[in-house]
Amino acid sequence: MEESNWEPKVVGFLCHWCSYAGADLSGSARLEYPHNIRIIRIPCSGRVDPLFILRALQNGVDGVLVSGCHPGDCHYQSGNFHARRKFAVIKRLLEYVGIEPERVQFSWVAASEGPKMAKVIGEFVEGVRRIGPNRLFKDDKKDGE
Amino acid sequence: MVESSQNDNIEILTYSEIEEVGGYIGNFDVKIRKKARLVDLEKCTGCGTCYQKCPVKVPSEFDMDMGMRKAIYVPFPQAVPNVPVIDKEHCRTFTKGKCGICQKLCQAGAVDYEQEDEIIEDKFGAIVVSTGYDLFDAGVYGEYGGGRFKDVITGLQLERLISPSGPTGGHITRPSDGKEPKNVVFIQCVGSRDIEKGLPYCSNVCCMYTAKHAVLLKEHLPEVQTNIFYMDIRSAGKNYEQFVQRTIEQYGALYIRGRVSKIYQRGDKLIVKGADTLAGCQVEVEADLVVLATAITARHDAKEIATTLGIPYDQFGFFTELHPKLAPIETVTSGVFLAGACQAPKDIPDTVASASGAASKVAALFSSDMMSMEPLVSTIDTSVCSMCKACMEVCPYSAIQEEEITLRDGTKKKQLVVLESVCHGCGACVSTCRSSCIMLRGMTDEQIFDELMAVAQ
Amino acid sequence: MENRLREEAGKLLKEGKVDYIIGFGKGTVKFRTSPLITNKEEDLKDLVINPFITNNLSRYPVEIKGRVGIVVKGCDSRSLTSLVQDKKVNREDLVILGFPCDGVVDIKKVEVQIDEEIDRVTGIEREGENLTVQMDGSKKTMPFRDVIFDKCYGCEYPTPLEYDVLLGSEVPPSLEIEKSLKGIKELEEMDARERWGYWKEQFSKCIRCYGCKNVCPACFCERCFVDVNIPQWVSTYATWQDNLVFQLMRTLHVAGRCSDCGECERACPVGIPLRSLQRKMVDEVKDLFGHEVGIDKDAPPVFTHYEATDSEEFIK
Repeated sequence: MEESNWEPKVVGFLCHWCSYAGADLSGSARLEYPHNIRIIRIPCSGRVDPLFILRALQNGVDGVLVSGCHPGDCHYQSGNFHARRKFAVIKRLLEYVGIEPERVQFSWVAASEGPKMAKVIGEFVEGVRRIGPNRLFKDDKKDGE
Repeated sequence: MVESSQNDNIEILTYSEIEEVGGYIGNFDVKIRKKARLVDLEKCTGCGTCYQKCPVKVPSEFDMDMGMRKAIYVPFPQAVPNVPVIDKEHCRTFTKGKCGICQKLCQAGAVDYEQEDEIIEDKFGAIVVSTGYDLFDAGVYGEYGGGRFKDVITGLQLERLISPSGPTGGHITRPSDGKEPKNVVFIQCVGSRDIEKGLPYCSNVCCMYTAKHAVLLKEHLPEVQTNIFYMDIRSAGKNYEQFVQRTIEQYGALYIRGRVSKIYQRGDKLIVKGADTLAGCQVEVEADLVVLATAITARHDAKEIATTLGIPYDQFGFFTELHPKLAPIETVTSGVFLAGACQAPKDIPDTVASASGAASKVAALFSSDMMSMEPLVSTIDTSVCSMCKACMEVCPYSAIQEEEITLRDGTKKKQLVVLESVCHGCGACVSTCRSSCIMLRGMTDEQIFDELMAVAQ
Repeated sequence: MENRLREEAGKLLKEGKVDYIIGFGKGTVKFRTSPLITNKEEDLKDLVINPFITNNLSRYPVEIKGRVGIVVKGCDSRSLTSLVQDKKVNREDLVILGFPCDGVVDIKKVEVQIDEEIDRVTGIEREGENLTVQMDGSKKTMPFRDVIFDKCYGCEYPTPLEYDVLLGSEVPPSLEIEKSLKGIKELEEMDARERWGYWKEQFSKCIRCYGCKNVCPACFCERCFVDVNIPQWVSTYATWQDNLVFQLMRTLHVAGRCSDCGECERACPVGIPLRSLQRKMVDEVKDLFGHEVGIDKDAPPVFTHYEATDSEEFIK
């Protein structure tokens, strides 16, 4: 029953200089994107530790989006290059252990790409909505509980 | 330049290159190689006997291959210092083992074939980069002759023809037969604004210098007709638009809005075929001389220079500024500043402005012993650090260094420390550290954890 | 071989070339070996080379101040080189006694073959390509390759790549790589839900003994992330959720530095197939970045380095 009213709750780690600014821009351009995303600002995509993603999923967040600057444009030179390597490995491991690939997404969005940011968030939330709520880390409920 | 060379606080090191840069703002360790010019700077009096008598002639780089220089030479008469350099690749003493005329004739005994490179290592507080630009090679445009036609020259080559100290003594003559040109065609945007064969950007200066050339040509050769093929005329600076109008009205320059599709030889003339889009027809101009306004490019060795200095560059090789609008003179590496065309094509007023800006930034930096910085930097908890140095490898600013400290009992211990003046607060070190012993103030794991827990409620 | 090893080790101690010798010694239980770490020449007679030397001794030089002479097999030598790459050990402080290894016996597989418990066995001998198992009154022979650890089937570098003394002749790479990937292949056949269910079940068994962490040479951190309590990313309470997050993070931390020595799986008291995670990541890192740990001691660790051409296929 709770599922018919279920709204995905998604967290986004956006890098301050590009993706966060991009989200800001889409806001000032009055472009709509779903309210389901809660944005956490980080200085650089390189700051993202895989623990953030795992812990978010463990605590029931339905999806995790990480977005940074395009490679070559990182405000801190190389943060996103290092992040890209980590992200590639995280993606492969999470899929291998059975976490739905739609729940974790990595994107590059620049500060000037307001429309792209809105699109990325919109599509991500829709993808999560399709696969349903995150029950991965829930203990099995027995009837009546 | 002479004024700078005479200033007590300025040391000019010519014919020298930066080999290595280490350290950080306020404390750069720079290794400079003073290359051996084979002439003693202290002894040479600048009399010029050596290059007058040198038997070897080589195309002059400064005259853009339109004139010759000697194997021992001063690149141009106003050079500072007025001391020649020997070009080992062409000097007979080095290529054939015999000559030595310059050494024999030098009354000051300044020619020294045994001179070696000298390495200087010193500390500097700031670095200003003004390494300039190169020009696009128009040879890729087969339609303009691909370098085959002697009378198709670049704007800089025309400058040398106009210059009184140039290869023709200031007489503007055709390179092919030395005759004075009657009809001159200028082509704008050769290599600029061309996604297919050239560079996508505008080179900033060409519209204005072409107008200047049209004016100078008319002043030197009152009978000359100048024709300028253009796409747009960019004359945005102070009084620039008025200058272009005067070029048209007073100096009779004919501006044709259209591109040139082909240049070919007919007899001793060059036929320039192009379009006049405002008149809506094709045009053919019989020219004696064609001048191409070639694009400004980054120096061919810009990437190596940038890597040595530890600054980033864009896909064209121009050095990247800290912020295109709000910080066009600083770079991401604190203490390294940019001036002039090495950052982007720009003309003289803009170059002077950026150089003045760089100089003031350095003066501001040096005005006190301490610097104030953003406090949102990383710190290391040395009690749990495993010294794997992964953070050191990852830091784009080399802000993490190893230091040795002495403990209370006298033993020495190696540990890692973050240089707070260099750290920019990106946090790459934090996510690389597997044991969370380095933390970014203002964006700590604790803070992110709390945010995450609040979101996940 | 044992005699040669004892001789070489003795020489090293006597000539003062090393402060300690790290090798395999007799185990406390039969058909096992334990690490032997000593600076006394008289202890060297207890050094062994036998079919049970499964321990990865490269764990120890990090904790010993001084120079060591260390015995390593193919997989261990790559772990050792990985520590040199991670700057935790200096190559100059090591005298590497490399042993080209063609497999180590998994006692559990022997038990299956003889259909008896190992207590009944009085002796096990390697004879050429066979293993002879002596019990009271009976003897059984089986192909050596049938009873080695799964990880040994996946061994691509049986001969140590970095060594100072080679104890034996070179061994060619295994031709049965697929056999070592059995667990991984089975998981890849399942759908996502089944896979998650599988790992959920496995990690319900985990008691957080941290045997995997303790035995792994790549886990050299002075303070593990799991012990950080501000903030408490991973609870110390052994719920399957926290167990799984712990092991997934450990896998990510160790990725690119793991040589598939298999010790984590062997050390796990509740039999969680950890190699199915670790070996999978070894292959993923190789696929993504062309990086194999311990091949080149001067190569940078995989996550402190990047290439402009790194894969972006997963980026949206």
